[in-house]
Amino acid sequence: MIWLAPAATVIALASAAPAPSALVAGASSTPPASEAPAITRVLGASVTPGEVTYGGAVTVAGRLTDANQGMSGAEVVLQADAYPFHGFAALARAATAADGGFTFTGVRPDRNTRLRVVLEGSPTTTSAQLSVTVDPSVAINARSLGPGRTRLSIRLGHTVHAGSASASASWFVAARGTRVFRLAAVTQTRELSPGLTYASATINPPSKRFVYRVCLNPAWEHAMGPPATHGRCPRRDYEVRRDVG
Amino acid sequence: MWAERFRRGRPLMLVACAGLAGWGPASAVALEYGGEGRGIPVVPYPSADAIAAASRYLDGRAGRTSFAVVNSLGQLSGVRLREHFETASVVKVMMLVAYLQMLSAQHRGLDAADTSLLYPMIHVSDNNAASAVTAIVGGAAVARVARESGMSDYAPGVGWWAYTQTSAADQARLFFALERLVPRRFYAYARGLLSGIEPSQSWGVPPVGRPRWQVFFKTGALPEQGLFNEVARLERPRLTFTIAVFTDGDPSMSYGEQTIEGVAATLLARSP
Repeated sequence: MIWLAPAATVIALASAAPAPSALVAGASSTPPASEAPAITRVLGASVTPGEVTYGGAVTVAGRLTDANQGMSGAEVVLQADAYPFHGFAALARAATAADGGFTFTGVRPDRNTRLRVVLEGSPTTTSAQLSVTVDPSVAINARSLGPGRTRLSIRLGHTVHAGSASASASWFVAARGTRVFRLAAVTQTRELSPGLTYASATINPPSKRFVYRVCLNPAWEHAMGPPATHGRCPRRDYEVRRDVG
Repeated sequence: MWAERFRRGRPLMLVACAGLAGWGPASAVALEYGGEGRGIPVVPYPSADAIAAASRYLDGRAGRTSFAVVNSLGQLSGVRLREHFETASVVKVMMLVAYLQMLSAQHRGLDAADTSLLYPMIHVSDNNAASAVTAIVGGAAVARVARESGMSDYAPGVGWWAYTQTSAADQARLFFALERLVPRRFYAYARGLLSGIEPSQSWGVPPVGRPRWQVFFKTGALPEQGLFNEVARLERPRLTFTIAVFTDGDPSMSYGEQTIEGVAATLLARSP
């Protein structure tokens, strides 16, 4: 697992208020009345933001309670399971504050990652699983080189997981105000350095002002971004519902 | 002119169009980024319409035919682009390039011995000179020219260099790449040879293209099998494109020449 930052620093939360959706009961639950004593530990946690650009950091915060009372001084462990999700491993530790709150800051996943917080010594007391979607960082550019020649380029920062195999980049262009994107070029990507991919194409612009798109299916595609963006690139011209530009 | 300098990209939703795309469901989404750009659009020459018209013309001619155009933007199109034909004397341009590359590699200039082979090989399509050039440069050098020009259908001739296999696409690419392939110090010499071919062998493209265009070309023929070929590079200021026309099984030489001339006339019907 690769993280872009050292283990998370820990800051006690004065008023830990995890997002409701992230709250989840821990392993312990209220036993039948005939059994004694009732112990109800809850380890709630949330991650902010849930989607981050490659290189960005997220914060995991939450609160550990027992019978609705904050548990102070307990050690909680932030665990991570990065794509392809083969299992959790400890990432950072923190002690809970007086109100049971805890925070892990500066967590920098390099690819889609599941997080959870576990109470040290009580592996069944765990938070809900928190998903972090990591999008590649993107810079795109269009530069006119003269009549009939405009260079389009893209640079992508991405995980080094899944290798550095070259991929096809399909470049589509449409005159402003039109709906059909024409396939203008298909080029190969190249890795400028580990985790930094570049592709370019020189095209004849369809009009003085135009809109372009570049589509890729890189090897690391499934390790990053929402699953909904993992479809195959079109191989031919296509139409969009609204006029572009 | 910079358009949008490294504008931040955003994933975009792709929507397939039944009439255009033929891929994936309408909800398909891929890793795609977009932006806006500015540029100066150029209409390529010859136009797609002219190429289509030339294709129709060629389909009406007898024999086995193909033609390829690399237009002014470097885009390849044509008919039966990769169909194999024997080069006949068209291969002599590859020999010329290989020979000039050899001289450059040896840091030599052209001397009388060199020109006594190259000039007749191109000017009057002298076969003995071509055989001598082949013996000097070797088959590997010609094959290297094929690779460097991006040929995909080249195969050396069996028994005689005139039986070298090629396609219209290969030869159109070669002529488009001449400026890159011929060592700079010899480029003017090569252009002089290819634009000054003996009038009796200047059929097909030159009579149609001149004087509006500078025409650099080479014809080839194996008359006994009705094979007549021509590859040409046409230039005007800031405008260059290439044509390769291959025919086989023509009823006569004049018929083959007319076929090539007809293709050229159709392509050049509208001036840029």
